[in-house]
Amino acid sequence: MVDIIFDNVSKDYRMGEVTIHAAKQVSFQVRNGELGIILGPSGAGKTTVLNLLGGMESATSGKILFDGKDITMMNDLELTDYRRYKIGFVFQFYNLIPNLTAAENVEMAKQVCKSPLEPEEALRIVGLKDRIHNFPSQLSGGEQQRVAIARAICKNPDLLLCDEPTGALDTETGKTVLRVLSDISRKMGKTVIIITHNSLVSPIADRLIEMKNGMVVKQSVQDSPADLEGIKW
Amino acid sequence: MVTMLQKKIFRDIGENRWSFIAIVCICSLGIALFSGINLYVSTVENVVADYYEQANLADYWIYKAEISDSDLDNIRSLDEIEEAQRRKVTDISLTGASGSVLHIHAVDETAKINVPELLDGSKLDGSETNALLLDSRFADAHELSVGDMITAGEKENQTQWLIKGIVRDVEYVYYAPEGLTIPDYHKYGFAYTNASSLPDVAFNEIILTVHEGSNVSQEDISSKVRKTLEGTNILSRHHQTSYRKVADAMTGIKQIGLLFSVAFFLTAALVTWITVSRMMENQRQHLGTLRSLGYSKKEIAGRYALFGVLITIPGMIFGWVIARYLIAESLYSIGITYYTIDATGVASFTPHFFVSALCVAAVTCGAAMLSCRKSLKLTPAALMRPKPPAHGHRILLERITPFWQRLSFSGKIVTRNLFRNKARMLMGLVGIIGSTSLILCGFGLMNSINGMLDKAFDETVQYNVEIKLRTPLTMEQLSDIYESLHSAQNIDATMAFSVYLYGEGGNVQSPYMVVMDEGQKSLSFMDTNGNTAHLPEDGVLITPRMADALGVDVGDKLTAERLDGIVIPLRVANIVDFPVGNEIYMGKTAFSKVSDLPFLIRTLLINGQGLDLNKLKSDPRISLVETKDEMRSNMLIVLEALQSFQVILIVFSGLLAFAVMMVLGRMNYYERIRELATLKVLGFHRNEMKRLVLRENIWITIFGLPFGYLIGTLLLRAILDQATTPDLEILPLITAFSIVVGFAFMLAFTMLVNYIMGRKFKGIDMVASLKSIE
Repeated sequence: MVDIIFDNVSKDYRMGEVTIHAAKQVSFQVRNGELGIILGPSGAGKTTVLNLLGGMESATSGKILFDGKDITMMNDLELTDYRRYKIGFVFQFYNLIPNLTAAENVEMAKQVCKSPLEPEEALRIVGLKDRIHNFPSQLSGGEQQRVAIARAICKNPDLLLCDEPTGALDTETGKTVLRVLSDISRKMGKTVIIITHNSLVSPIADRLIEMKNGMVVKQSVQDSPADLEGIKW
Repeated sequence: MVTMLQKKIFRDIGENRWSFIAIVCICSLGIALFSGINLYVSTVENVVADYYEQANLADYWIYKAEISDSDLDNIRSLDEIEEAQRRKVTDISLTGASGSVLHIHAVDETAKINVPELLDGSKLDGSETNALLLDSRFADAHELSVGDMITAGEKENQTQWLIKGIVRDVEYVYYAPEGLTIPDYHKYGFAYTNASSLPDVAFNEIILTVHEGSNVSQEDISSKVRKTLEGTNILSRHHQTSYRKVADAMTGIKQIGLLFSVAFFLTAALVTWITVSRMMENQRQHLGTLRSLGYSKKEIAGRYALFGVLITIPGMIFGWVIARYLIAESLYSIGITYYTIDATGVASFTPHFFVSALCVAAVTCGAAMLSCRKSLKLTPAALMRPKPPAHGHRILLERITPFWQRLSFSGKIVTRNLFRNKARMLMGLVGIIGSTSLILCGFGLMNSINGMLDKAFDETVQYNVEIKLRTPLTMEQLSDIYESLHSAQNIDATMAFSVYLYGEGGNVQSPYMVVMDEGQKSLSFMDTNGNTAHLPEDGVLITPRMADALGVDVGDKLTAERLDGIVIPLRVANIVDFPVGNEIYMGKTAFSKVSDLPFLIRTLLINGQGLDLNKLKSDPRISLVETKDEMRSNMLIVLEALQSFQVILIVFSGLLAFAVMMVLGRMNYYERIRELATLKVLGFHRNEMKRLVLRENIWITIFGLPFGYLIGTLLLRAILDQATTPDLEILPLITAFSIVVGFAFMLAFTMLVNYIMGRKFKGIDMVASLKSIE
């Protein structure tokens, strides 16, 4: 099954004279079908880890195994295919194409996949069946974030990566979004990794990875994750 | 002191350097084209005008068989006349087989009008005989110099002439006598001598100037002169060959250049305006920050005008260099080949340069300041928030369901994107339409010239040799020439003389009147509807440009006045489409109904093969033997300036097209980099991204091409209308081949830009582009 293994992964950014160590010997793993949360304050290296996992950046050293394959060894074309067929991405700022409707934004992702979900189905899953013909500007923030999730899951990816998906949303809307994400993991059996700085969200995770200063400080498995309803922030 | 704000603007430019460079190029080209063409024209016009002024070019030439002292005094005593001088004018043939002819002017006092300009040697002192001042071009062609002797005349009548000086003459800036299309310096030259050197020749010409500023019409002068001296021919400077050819050529280039460069300038200005405005829009958050720091609106807008200045200044420099050293220089080197003037080189500046630079400054500073001010109307807080994303909305096409449903997904995206980004589409379209029309216009100019020549020399002209006689002769006097041409299939004799042709409204033209037998086979005329037209038994045939110039139509009356004052009443029988030549045509029968003048032959139009032309060329009665091919190639030489001009047009349009496409492509890329990064994260391959994002450039091009063609045709028509002279009328023609080539150029540019931009996709940094909204 698809497991994700980070093995001693480091990422350095060289900025002129200065080298920034964004990730230092990061090691963790997430099992297939789990809902993982990477928790940490800003600057902890969460996004770097996510970008490395998403094949958007290459690691300076270490191995990242996805389904047994080391993605640090892939070339540009292989990485594109990796993103295309395996990964779904959800961004903090949604990054929808403004002049495509919700349905079309989702369909755009569908076009590049082998066994996609129907866009209507994906939008139904995120609870937006009625708004599918609206343009992003006609949707609220939470709705836009759910379109972004629908776009990601429509690709039927093995792994859903979410970068602060609730960062720009209020509590209630945020909860709706998290509900969708946990359902995707629990009901559809997808691996979902969420990064957040909000520790109050962490109880819902199957696996919690805490980061600080580019390093993993704690990794824990939560056998009975809390239900979303009991959580407040 | 450089303020931080200025420093920021310099850095902005550094970051946008390619767009900035493209805009500077577009502006430079605009300035260069407009000022370059005018620089050439005004250089020549000024040199010529100064020369006319300095050498005191005559206003009128009066011809009479014999002019006595009292005749001259009578002319001098007329009120309007400032100065009048008489000359002996005759031609002498040089000894030998060259057939060269010198047109000799002899004066008996110091020349005050048409003063020859001494280039080498010394002036005549008034007493010496058989000394002359020789035409510099003729001297060059024959490798003659001061001190050499030339021999004229045949056998026992030979005379020796000493070349005392080498001169230029203001009345022969463009020396094309005897109906030559282009000067032939080997065959024809002129010379000055003392009157005493030509004892057998009577004074037969008066040249005169009228008081400066006196507005007496040519008709008044003519009638007064004729009243004073009966039986004279009088010619005004506006109808004198040299003066007219130079003026016509300059007017033609000036008009074409003006129209073309205005069209070019408009395209460039629109593209610049839109680009600068959009660059400014991308600055809105910076504007917000500046406002929040406490900069006043005025300070900000004022500083951003710097942007325009920074485009204008390099635009002026490059524009001037291109105008001066490329355009004006190349036009000048070709254009003045046949002008005998003091070729001191192209001037440095004309007001046109400053006018065009001012326009560029107005467009660039204006666009920067206006869009800056528009943004500054918002509160600083609103400015600092990212611009609300453009509202997606349905476009009209989506309502046409069958069409919309048939589009592929990417087709839908591309279509909607095109219509959503109206400013970008507009700019693209303006750029494409502008440059397509300019390119097609350049090609069209070439097509039209060739089309005109084909029409003239393949359709209308049916003879292949034309023989011009030195003086009008009767058929009997030419019997031996006819004899030698017995193998010709057809010979038509024509009578031809210059006339002033007056329309009913008082407009005047000075064509040749050509009279020939109604049964002639040399010219196959077509009327404007394309029907064959024969020489009628009543009335004359005129060309459409003549009809326009005189404001007459079929059936209207005309009055022709010969240079000797004989008036012939005429009626327009038909209008015939003959693009070359300033002539009107009349049948013998029709002519005999309106005039008693005997039919004297001036030219022979011959259709035949294998004729011995060399023998004819050396016949003293014959001034010119010209084949159809020679006529055609001479026409091409006359049009050479126009042709080099059209090369400039094509090259400039191509550059404009490329710069516009480049600006457009970059704008599209940078404004959508976030979108592109998203696509890349989603795992789109480069080709798929190109299809979604770059294909719209191709659509804009394809959509713009037909309009470009349309406007190109209109522009070409306007240009050629302006370039029409009494001698020449070029009808607009853009061949299918030119259209295909022009369109292919534009598509190739688009694809090249797409290729360049597509390569950039690889370098898009997904993480940086998506991190946050900047």
